[in-house]
Amino acid sequence: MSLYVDAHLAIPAPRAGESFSLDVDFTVADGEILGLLGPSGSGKSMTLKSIAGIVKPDSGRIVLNGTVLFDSGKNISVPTRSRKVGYLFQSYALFPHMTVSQNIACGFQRLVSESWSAYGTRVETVRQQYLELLHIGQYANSYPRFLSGGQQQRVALARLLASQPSAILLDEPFSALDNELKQVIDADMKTTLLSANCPVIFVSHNEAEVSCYCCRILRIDHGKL
Amino acid sequence: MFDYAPLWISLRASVLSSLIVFILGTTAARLCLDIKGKAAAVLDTVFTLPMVLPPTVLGFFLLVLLGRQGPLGALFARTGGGIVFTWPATVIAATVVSFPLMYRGARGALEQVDQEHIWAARTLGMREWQVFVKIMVPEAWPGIMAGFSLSFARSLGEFGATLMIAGNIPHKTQTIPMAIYFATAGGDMRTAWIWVGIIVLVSFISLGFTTYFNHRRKG
Repeated sequence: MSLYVDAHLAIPAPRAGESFSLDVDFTVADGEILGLLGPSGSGKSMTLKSIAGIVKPDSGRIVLNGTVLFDSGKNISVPTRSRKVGYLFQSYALFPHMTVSQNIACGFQRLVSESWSAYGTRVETVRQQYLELLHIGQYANSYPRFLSGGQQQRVALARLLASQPSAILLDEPFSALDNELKQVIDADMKTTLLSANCPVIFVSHNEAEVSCYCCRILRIDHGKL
Repeated sequence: MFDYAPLWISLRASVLSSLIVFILGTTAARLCLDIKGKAAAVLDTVFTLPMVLPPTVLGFFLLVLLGRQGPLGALFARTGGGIVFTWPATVIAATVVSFPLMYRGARGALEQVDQEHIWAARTLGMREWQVFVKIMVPEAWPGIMAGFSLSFARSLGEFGATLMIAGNIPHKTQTIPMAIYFATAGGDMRTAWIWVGIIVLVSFISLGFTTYFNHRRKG
């Protein structure tokens, strides 16, 4: 099982002479954390957004576990909600009007059970499980704005894992944190990510961060690998 | 004994039309977010038009549409009785006139919802209606409520279109603005003053809510 990405995308220049084109081609295996390293504006985020279906490439092919998510030749583009791709945004994108617990519950869209009562119990169990896994149980009823950056990141990760993704995309997960905090989270997060046992792409402009997480690193610059 | 009937007729028209407009305006605003280009501009203009057209013109169009000779009016007449000069007509007039305020308020608020939140919800597997109900509307709530109170205040003061299609039938279609006009015309200044006082007070409170929600939206 793996994630195969081959995406080409040209973005019309916002200003003259600044057109940008993305041209990437790589494969990530299950349980592998691939690092995408490059300066800002190099196309890292654009690559992730293409995989998640937020941006539509002009041409290419994206295949996850044998399922075609995007194929320009066959005119296939699976909608974001059905891609089963977890995306950790740079800003974490927690829903401000929901508590930590409710935020995580938003990840349960794909949870299915035979009956409503079974579903309720299941949701409760899984919710507890993720609260504990990421040590955020004590904040279950707090709102995201009262949490520190590191705590917010854990909540976003818990929400992402709760959605049972088949691939995980991390967009500059540490850029919003200070250095001290990074080290505390590092070891924990790596174990958690590996336990998900699916392809993971870690995007960053910081070489130290990427090398700490990833066994394989791709450098990207001006949209090229 | 002072006759309070216009107060109840006005409140009924305003409350009902506000509820209708709340649903229609928010839904229309959501639909417009998906439409781009020329169609979007045309739709936006059509939805906003009732705000700038004179209410009598709106009333005229409604009369043509809902009158016994009109396409909708003929339909109603067949199923039992007309709409024109009945109390539902006061609701319809208020709805049409206050719709643009709700629509524009909701649209502005929905446009400001963080795109990353919307995309995050989609990656989590939410359907479009779930994203709308669970994420967009709650995050845009203060702006939507500001539009709501504004449209409520507008429907309460509705005069021109109401006069055209609902008329001024005491205890049936006579709203507060109507009562003010006819009391003044008849020289009954005391009644006119009372209604003026009431409508200024209610409008003041409604606008207070608008300001409150707008403030919450920024802060």
